[in-house]
Amino acid sequence: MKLILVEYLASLKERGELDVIVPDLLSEIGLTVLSRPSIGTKQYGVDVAAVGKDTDGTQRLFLLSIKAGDLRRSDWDSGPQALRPSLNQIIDVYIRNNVPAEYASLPVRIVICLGGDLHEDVRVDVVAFIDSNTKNRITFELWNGDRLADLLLSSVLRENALPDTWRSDFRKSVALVDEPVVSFGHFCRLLKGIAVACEPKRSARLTALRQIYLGLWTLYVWARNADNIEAAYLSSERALLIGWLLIKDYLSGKSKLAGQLRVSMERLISLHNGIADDYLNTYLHPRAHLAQGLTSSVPSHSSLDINLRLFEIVGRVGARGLWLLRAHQCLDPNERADDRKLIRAKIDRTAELLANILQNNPILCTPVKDNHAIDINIACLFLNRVGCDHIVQPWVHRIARATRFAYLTNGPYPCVFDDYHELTDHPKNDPAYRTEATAGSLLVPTLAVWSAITDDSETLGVLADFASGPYSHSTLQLWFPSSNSEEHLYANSDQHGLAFTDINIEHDPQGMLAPVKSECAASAAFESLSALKYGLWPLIILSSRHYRSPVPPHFWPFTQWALDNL
Amino acid sequence: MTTRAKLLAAYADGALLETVSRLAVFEHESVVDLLANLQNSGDIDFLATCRSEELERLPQQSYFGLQHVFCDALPKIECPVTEAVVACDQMFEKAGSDGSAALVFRALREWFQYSPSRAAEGLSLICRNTDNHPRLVRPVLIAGATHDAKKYTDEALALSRATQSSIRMDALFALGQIAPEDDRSLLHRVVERFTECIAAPDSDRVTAIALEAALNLLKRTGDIIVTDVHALLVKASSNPTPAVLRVLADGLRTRQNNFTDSMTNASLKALRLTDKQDAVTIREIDLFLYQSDLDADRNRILEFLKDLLTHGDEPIEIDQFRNFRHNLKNTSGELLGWYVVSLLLTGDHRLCMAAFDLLPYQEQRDGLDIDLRPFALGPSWIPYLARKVLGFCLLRREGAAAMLLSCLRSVSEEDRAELEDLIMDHFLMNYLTAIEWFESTISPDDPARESVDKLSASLKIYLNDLTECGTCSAFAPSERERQIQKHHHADFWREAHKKAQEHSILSTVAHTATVLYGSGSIAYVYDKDNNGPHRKEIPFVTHEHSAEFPRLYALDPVGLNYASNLFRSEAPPE
Repeated sequence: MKLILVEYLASLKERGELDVIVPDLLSEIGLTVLSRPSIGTKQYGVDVAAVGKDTDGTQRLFLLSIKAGDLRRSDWDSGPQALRPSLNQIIDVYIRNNVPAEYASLPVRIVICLGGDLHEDVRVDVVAFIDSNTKNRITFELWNGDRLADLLLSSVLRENALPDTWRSDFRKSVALVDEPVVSFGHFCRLLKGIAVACEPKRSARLTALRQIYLGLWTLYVWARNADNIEAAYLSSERALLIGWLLIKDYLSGKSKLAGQLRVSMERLISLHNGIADDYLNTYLHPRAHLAQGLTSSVPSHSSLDINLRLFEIVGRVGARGLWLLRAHQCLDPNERADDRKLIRAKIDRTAELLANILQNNPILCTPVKDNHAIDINIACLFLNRVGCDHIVQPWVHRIARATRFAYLTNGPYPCVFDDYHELTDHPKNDPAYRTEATAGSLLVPTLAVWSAITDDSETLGVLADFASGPYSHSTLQLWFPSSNSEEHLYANSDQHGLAFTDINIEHDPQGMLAPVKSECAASAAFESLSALKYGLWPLIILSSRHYRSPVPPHFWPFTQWALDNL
Repeated sequence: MTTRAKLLAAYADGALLETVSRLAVFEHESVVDLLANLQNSGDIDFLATCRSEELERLPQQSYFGLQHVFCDALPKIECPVTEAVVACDQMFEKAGSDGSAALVFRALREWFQYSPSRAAEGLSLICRNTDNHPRLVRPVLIAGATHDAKKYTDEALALSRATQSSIRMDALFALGQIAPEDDRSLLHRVVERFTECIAAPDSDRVTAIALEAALNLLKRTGDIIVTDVHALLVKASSNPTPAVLRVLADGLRTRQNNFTDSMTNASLKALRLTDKQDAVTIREIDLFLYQSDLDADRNRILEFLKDLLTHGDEPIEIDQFRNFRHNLKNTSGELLGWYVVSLLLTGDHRLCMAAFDLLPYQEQRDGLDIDLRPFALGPSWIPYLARKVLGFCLLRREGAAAMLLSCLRSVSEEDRAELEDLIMDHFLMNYLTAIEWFESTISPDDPARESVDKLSASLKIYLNDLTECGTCSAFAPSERERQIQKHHHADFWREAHKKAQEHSILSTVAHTATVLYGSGSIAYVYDKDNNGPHRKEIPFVTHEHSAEFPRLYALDPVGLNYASNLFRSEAPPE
């Protein structure tokens, strides 16, 4: 376990990775964190400041200078990230001028915090520096990866907080990152264990959230090193949902715990989005501009594997885009113009990515599963929000046309089956099978709604004729959350929500949307979902994608909720 | 024991027929002579045995050996006509539905041919008792005519009006074989009789028999009656029954030298009505096409195929003409290409499918050299042809590549960019290595050179980008999915292997042995002198076949199918 953590810590980058972990670690070992790293603010060498009792019981001020990876000679005294100038700044500037008045009399412990190790070639310099600068009030300490791992094991991951069985799951999950589904399975067991254990105690939820965060980070780093972050991506989605499930009832009010929980949840979201960005940047962007680029990169000769993977990708890109929109929404319009600009650029880049993927991978016009409607819907929601209906409309048209064609020619048309085994046998040349495979459809009404949203009467006509003709046996349906959805949405613990089957695909766009709009207005359960209350609406979309349940129709742009909130 | 003694002993034991069948394998000639001698000397009654229960008991696999001996021995046997006739009838019945059943009547004909008296006896038997020996008519008339053609032609003419239809038809048929070519007046009467039958047939079969007899007569007499037979054929072809079609097809195959052009045309016109299920006629047409000069007669054959393959709701498929296809596939690339392109240009789905079937799986020639200039294709026709090639012939990589290259050579500058895009998106994206084939085929001054260079450059850039990106391990299916896919593939190929075995010629001539271990097998064999057995170690060899699937078949199967469908259903340019 310790080796896993040492390896993990050594692989962390300084900015946004190691310096995010350390403050939580300090909190967990009983220190009070006074300042955290922030971009653009002058820190005078101090990345994290904390106050609290040392192991000898003395109350001290801890000033941490954090350095990712190993410390070598080349990192000691020269270069923009050199350590010695930072330490000098702490002594010369920070301790003299920046220590809050209430802590000015406390002894100071300057901590050289390394993700990796101290190299031999620089050890003498560091020891000499420490010797010459140690005074009565100022002492030094070196925390390398090994020491940090010990601290993690004795705090966040201590034995009574993370029993052996979970450690075993965690180890397996890390060890099997090359088999993402298996790794994800172990990580889910870990999450389940953590969630169950913290149930009776309100305060344990913060530790649980931090454990999840740390566990996910570790898994991600290992997966990143193995050049396969699939397991980390899947686990991060589940971690978000389980994390939210743990804390959603403890966020109200202005208590310290509520605040800490909110901050930890935001960090978990940020980690998920970081993993998602990594996924997009590493796997998708380099291939998206190529004809059949993504399609060709799926290591399988089976069109089924390619189909499933590509729709998965589309759903992920759409979901990431929606998180970015939410981030943009959360920023104060009067402040942080640079941040807004940065996020706006990321949104545009994500939209361009999605457009390229759709254009260059025609298999995305031929969903093989009916529930690919979920991924299509998520992608369309994002594209619609960023003003790309000109991409949505032809895509939906092509899907509608291809779906009808595949069905009529007994090609691989969208079916209701979800099991891979059944999908490999699909389609069969048997009319009874065909009826069974298309007994219900979320896809056709979803396509119809998007055709109506983009005012595409031609596609609506195609779908209307198809639904009333050869597809008339299929129960067209949409899904609405109900009063039991809040209980099950984030854990997928049971069936929930209500099916809306009173759907008649009209040739006229307004006629098509009217009943959906009115049902959205009548369905109040949606707005009582906790994620919405706290502005985390992409979490509901993430849940739909992750658990393969339909996206609530309230997200469609014509509903009152969408008009008011998106 | 001598063969004679063996035969006598077997006769005494009631096992003569079985013994004859067995001995004939090694000593056919001597068994035939011995049987005839023993029968003629009265030592055995072979013919009576052939009429007895012993024949009924004889296993079917032994019958054909016996039949062979019977046919060769019968003409040498002295016996009353009824004995020979009844024995033949019994042997014929025993043969069941086998195609060789009627061979015994050929032997009977030879028996009648042996002396004029035998033929005369036969004729008198027919006249006395027409019901008991219906199969006697042809052997007697044909054998008799070898002694007195005029007399037996007159008899045949008379019998062609008999009340019993089988006798009438056999007599008509015999007329075609026996009417003397030097007696104009008699010939005229015979042809008149044929014409009469065809003008007012009393059954569907009569027209066919009369036509067949007329064609036989034409073959024997040459041009003497060609005008009459031509008229007769045209009349018969005007509303042909399946039997007439069969005769026409057979006529074209076996006697086309005697056909005038207009007779051939009339026959071909009638044959387009051939039913898909009529295997006999189709086989005859196939053999006729196989024998035809596919180059000199290309226009006539093409028009015939067009009619034949599009007639009715369920037309014949080109797949049913195996010999013709085989012949065409072995002709020059220019000729095969001409047929394929001609069929594709029609735009008719059935003919385009036929074009696909004509292309070999793997092109062994240097390439189909298809010159599109003779087709004089106007604007938009070349891209149209390319789309048809892509829609119908994509699975025949080399053939499709050759035709597309021909398109690139002949396309107008106006349509060139469109054609290049088509080839890039729908062909080269499916067969990434096909560009090498293009490059190796064209010469420096080839009209397609510029386009090929352009396509090659674009593809190279694309492939470099693709190779650089490689596959992504994060996109890989899970272990479980890989296992399921593996089993699925194994099932698929097992099924395919089973089907291939079912259709294999080998499986019909050899039995299958499944060997679980080893890289060879041991066999004990006899040499040609029947010495042995000798031990032989036979090493196993592997036989494998590979075919390249279009890449989009995996990457975008519905899209590929959809595009193919669009190309297939496109109507020809105005």
